[in-house]
Amino acid sequence: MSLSLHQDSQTSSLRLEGRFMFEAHTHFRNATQNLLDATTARQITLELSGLSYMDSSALGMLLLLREKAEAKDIKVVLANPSPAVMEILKIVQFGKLFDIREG
Amino acid sequence: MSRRPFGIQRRIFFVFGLFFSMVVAGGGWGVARYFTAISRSQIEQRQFDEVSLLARAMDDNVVFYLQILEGAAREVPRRVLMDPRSATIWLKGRTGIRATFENGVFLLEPKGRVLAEASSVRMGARIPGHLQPFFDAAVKHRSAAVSPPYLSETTKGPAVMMAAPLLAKDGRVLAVLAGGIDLLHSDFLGEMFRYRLANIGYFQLFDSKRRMLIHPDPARLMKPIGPAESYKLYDRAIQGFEGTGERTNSAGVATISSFKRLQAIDGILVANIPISEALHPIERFRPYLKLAVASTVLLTLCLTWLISHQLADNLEDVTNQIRVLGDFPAGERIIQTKGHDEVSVLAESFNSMMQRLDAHEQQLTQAKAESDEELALTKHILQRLVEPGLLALPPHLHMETLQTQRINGDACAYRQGLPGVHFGLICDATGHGLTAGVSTIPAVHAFLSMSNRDIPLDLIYRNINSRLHQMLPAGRFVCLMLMRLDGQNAVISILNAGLPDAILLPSHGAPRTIRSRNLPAGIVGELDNPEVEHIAVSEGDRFFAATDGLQDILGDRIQAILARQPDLPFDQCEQAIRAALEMGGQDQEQQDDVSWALWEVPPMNQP
Repeated sequence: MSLSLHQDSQTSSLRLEGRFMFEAHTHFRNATQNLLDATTARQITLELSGLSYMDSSALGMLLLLREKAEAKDIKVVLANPSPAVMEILKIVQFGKLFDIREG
Repeated sequence: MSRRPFGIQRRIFFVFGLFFSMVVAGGGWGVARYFTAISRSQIEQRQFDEVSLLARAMDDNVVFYLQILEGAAREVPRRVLMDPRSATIWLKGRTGIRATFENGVFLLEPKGRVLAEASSVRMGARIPGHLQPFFDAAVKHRSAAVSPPYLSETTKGPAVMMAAPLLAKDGRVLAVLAGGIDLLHSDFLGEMFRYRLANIGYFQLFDSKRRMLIHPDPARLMKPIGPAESYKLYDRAIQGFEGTGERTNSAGVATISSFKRLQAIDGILVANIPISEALHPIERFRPYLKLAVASTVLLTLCLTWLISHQLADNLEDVTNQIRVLGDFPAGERIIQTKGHDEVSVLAESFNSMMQRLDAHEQQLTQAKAESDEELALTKHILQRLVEPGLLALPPHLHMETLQTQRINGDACAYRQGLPGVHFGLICDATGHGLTAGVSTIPAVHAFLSMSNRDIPLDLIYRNINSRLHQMLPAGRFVCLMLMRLDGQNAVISILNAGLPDAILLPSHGAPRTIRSRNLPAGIVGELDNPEVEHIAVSEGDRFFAATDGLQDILGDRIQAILARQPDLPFDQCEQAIRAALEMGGQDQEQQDDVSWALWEVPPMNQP
């Protein structure tokens, strides 16, 4: 999986591409921690249109990010998930936990 | 130990050997060129100096002969001028000048008529026409003169005529004393032209009319010097050039030629020496130089080979040892080094790094063994928890977990509730390995203890959620499905919390899917209103549920498999699903556990 960061004063956006699985946890954790440490924005958007798959570990990583962000009063938005990823998010009912914005 | 075909040692040898060989060869070539140029320049200068010296000597010789003639002219008694016989007797008595001017001595009237002679010229004859201008000039200027060179009828060789006027007291020219000189006479110039430059170098004398006056080859005397294209330097010399140049002579031999104009007569002196002879010392030196260069190149190559070998030997040795290092077990992967150079330092660092790696590998192996042991223990605990229930499954219900080599957090459990009431659980914890396996234990434990008391599914779910939320760290959760089949009332209740759609296959009618409507357990502390679906069923209806590992293996094919088996007996349907899973698992390496359940609604009132 690859990560790319886009940041301005209003929002920070992290674009995820490929297959989001357990193997990416260090990369994702470091990237999101750096983002949380550096950002002044009140919202972090995870751009998921380039993701083709997420496993349960990836879902857990989203939950961890959500917990850390909430501690800093930052909202996490899941944007434009691909159909396959949206199906996974629906199954685990993440719509109850995250603001999911479909494109 | 074999050497690599293009190892560092050979590369050093080829690069530096080639470089130094080129430097040595280039240096040798440069030395040869330098000394050739220096020698040639010196030879040219020396040859011009020689030809200049010789030209001056020739001029001095001519002047000397002229002075002899003038001296003799002054001694002519004036009385003999009136009497040709007396004049002849007087001339024949002058043996000194007759021997000097061997081409004849004459006493002439100012008009050029012979008054007396000491040769075979008849009395009263006139001076030859081609000499008349020279004779007239001597009379006019009342001074001694030298004629242009001409072909002597007497000697058939090059000659000049000298004339010295006899003057009266009032300055009138009374007569002229003349003498002919053979240029090849040994006392005059001839000896000089028998002189050789080195072995085959030679002198020439030609005049401004392009006639060869003196040449080692008698056949070329008084003949034209040759075509202009071959004698460019000669024509330049006629136009005034004095110096040295390179030319090819009539025999095709390249020569160094020096030119110097004579002052006393119309003539240009040339010295020719073949280049091969001029540079003979250099040419003799050249084979020795080539031998020296070849020897130095060979020595350089040997030295380069030795130095490169010295430099790269330790590196090659270390490289060869590293190449086979993988064949040795951990702890014995040590490189032996020679000396204390940088390669040895690198090898020691490598050894140190390998020792650390070996230690880490050992730790990893030990950690893996411990982890495997812990996983086996977890597996054992899980099996001890679920096995009694699964062993008690009635024939119309089937549940199982197909595990990968490692525990990936899947589990299923069954419990008989009140008579005719059956409880089932399939769950899938986040992640893989020990933590995932451990996460399922509280869920299974809560399910088994609560279903026994026929507690509603939403309460069981709340209890499991509460336990897991307290126990699991953030980011860990358990997806699960709780099932309750009430055979007495023909109702199946399903609570899906994060698992893929379950499928209800009525014996008559279209299949129905039961979607997840609840959060997986353990994420949030407080659940709002868990959603449980209660569906009326009838005898023979079948219900199928599975964790997401099944999706990885079969994809959407499970619905087709189930749809193809409506009339199959329950046990055959179950076998068909297992066979499909096993076949799918062979096609691709199974990444995740699969827990699945296939239930069939039994005849009413059957326990």
